[in-house]
Amino acid sequence: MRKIRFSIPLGGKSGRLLPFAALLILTVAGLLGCLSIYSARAFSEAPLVFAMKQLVWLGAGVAVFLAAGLVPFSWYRKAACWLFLLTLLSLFLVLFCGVEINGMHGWFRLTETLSIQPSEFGKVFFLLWLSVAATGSAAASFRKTLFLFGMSFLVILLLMLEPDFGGALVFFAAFLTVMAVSGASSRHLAAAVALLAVCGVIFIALNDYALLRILGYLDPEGGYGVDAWHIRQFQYTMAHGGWSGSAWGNALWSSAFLPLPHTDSLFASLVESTGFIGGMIVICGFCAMGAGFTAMSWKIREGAGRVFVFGVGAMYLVQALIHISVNSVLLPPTGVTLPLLSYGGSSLLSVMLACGMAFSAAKEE
Amino acid sequence: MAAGGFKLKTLTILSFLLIWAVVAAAHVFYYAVAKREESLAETRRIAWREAEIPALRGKILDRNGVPAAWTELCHDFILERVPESPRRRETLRRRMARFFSAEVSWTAKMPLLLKNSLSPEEIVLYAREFRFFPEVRIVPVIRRVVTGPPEIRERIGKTARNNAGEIVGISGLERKYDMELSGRAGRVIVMLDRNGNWCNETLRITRRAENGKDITADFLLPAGTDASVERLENAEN
Repeated sequence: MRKIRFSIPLGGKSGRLLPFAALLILTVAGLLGCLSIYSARAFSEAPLVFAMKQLVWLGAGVAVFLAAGLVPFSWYRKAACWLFLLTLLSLFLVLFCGVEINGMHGWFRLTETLSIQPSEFGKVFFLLWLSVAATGSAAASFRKTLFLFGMSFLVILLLMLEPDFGGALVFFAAFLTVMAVSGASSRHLAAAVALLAVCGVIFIALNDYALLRILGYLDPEGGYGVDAWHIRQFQYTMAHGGWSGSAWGNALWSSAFLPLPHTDSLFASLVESTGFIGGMIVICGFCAMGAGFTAMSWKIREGAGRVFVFGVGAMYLVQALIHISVNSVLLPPTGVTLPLLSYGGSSLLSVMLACGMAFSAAKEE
Repeated sequence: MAAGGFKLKTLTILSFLLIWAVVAAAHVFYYAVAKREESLAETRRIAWREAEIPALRGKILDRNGVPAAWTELCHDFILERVPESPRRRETLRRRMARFFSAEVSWTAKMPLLLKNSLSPEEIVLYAREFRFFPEVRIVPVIRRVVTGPPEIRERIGKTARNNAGEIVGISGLERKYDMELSGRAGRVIVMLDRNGNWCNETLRITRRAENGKDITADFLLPAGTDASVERLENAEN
């Protein structure tokens, strides 16, 4: 009988302990997320509801991480195509059968209190498929890049229809990252960026809400409705934090004024509770995560696993930076959650799944 | 791709992301620390309000200590303004239909009294059920109740509200003993949320209210007299 191994061939004890150390760090980050969610909702009618639900999702996430790490990466490689087709199908179906939450048609309602966001799991499967397809036997050619871009464009288009502009940005960042590290020509990538930029401009021109967000960002005092108001609330919320923040459970401005303080505006709420120092710890934590996955990818031999491991770190670092940038008024508002910390079962489970799969890749290749 | 080339590319991407993180951190510093005082001053202007706790006006008692005029604090439920969006209007209409039999007319003069003198249970119920509708409010109302036959009422006199919203005596004993009866209003500061509701956790009393003193008059109330509520006119009228 084959012995199930859950260690990375780094040599010595470190290889055996690394996945469990990573799991511990992810769990601590998840618990910090629960505290942040509680703090953001402390003055609402039921302050514990979201934090307790997130705690349950964290428990499930730990199980998902362990299970995903135990499945051999060769299985993921074989299933990559099917998982990607499943992603495409679910993103297509959610437009017709999904429910609208916070102005986005991106959830399947399973029960009265349980919904699933397919784009969150789609990120992981898309990255897996892209890593496998980009590092396949055929050499990196214009035709191959065009095919991968076409499929990625299709996914991004489905996300734009929800409309989930922030999610589409994360998918596009994943595409660029994978293509860049798997040997695609820089001219082809520049063409893809230019084409996507044109599509982005068309999308903004056709959608009033996107245009208002950009105008509100450029001129927060200019009276561009709710988006300009939202941007000002980010500024005010962070101002309440100062250097070291107000005491935990005292994110009063977030509770009273900030829209979605436990999901899309969590970082600003966290800065209100823990101040600039707390915000820096979170930023450094995500940078360390990105660097950790990068270092892990260097230990892996050539192949899809190497690209996937680097892609997971880079994709979630990009997502975290988009969220932090929106909350710190560096970018216009887009609905992106902070990985691991923001409320949401789909988001948390998909991060844990991706990390588990990355460790599976690291131990096998 | 060779390990060296892969390393270089990943390092390039990671460096770009780290620079992005540094810029984001600088932005956080700017808003949380550098621009803090300016933003806090703005939030104080937007959200913090000072309010007055009215002092209860003292009673006027007859020779035997039976109250002839007193003040009652009650709560009315009013519609301050009509919701702007038709969807919101419809939601509020359906919510109100659960509690009030009569249909609310959106064209009526605002503020519209929906129910007066709420019981404590009604206050809790309406505050909960209508918490997402800043257009409707529970407002505290102070009423002056006067009892006795017409000649005694005339001796007691009348009260009205001045420009500051305080009750003042404008005739009779109410005017003569106005200083003693009035007391001194208290003050509170409180933060309002985006719907204009008080954030109760932030409520701070800056000055306690001192209720007015009771006055004993030299008349005697006949037994079995009915009380009636005095309508408070504006003092300048």
